Amino acid sequence: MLNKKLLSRIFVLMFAVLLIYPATSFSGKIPATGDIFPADDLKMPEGDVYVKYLGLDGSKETFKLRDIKAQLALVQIFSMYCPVCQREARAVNELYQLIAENDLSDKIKMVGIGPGNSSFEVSVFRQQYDIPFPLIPDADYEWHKIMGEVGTPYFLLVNLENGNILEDNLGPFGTPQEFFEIIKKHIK
Amino acid sequence: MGDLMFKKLFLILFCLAFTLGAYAADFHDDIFPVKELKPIDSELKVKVGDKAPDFSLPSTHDTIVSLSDYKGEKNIMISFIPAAWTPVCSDQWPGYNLAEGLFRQLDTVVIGISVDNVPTLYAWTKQMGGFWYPVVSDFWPHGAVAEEYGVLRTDGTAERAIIIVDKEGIIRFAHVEDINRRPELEMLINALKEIQ
Repeated sequence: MLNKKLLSRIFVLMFAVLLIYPATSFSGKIPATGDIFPADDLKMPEGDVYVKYLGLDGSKETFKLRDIKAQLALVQIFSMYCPVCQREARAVNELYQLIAENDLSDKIKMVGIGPGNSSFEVSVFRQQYDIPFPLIPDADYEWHKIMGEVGTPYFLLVNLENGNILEDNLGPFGTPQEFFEIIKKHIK
Repeated sequence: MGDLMFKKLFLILFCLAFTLGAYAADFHDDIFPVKELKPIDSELKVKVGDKAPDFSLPSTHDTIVSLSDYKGEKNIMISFIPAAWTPVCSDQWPGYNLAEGLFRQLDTVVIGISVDNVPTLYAWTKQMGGFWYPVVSDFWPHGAVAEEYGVLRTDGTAERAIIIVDKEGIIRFAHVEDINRRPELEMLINALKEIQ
């Protein structure tokens, strides 16, 4: 039979758990290696060159990641307001170049999603760093919630055949060559 | 279930809390987590067409920055933010770094104002890589400039507000954003284009 003292202690413990839980897990789970990449709609990139790069049907307003015509997609969650994203932008461009120089551009596609970034803000980021791959605005933070409100930059390597997340990386990814080698291992 | 079990459970909870906190610190650069706040908690005391109240505040570069320093020279975009080391603020001013070229094209200087003291602002802005524009402290008398503009919240922080002042010292744009969100950059750039 539980006495009052014990019941009050259990109550205190439950209260402590409630205090901890909302501060850390109030949003959805952050998709990571082993998970399936969310199948939610993404806005069609602005610009024919990007639609063509991803092999999408440009007549539509949205697409799903798995519509991309390639083996792998490297998704970067970024923000023009994020100092780390700003510092890393040139390294990410170098990674894009490495993929191209190794004739893997048809097999690996890169795409950025900018939580809280409008089209205008995404264009400022693109112009400042001459970003060669598609950047998709997420002004209303919809993808921010889908991605568990993850910090930026966050990189996910996705198998486009089945949507499996093969690699994840939160923050800077080391050298472009090192990250390229990790990605390359997943090419069939 | 006695004292020993209770202590063990408490220890587990304590460790869990510490671990989760460390995870956040690792990837969010020591930013303090903030829950959703009341969007706006003050009433503007200035309006478009008013002469902007002058101020002289200490900057993170150990100088005194006055609004009147720029009169006749530059348009000024005053950016009030609620507090250093908080999530949205830490994702706002770095964007104005990226947009430096746009501001310069529009003959505009940003002045960042926070009610934090200078050492706090120094550490915080340094952690973000520094800015091309001055960051000044409205710490003492606490929030006096924010109060004069009508953007001091009841908890002693400031609103997330933007005041654009033209070269004649006249307010041309005044906007208090929901504290939980950033003001959209395009809106600010368009406001600056309108006063060219």
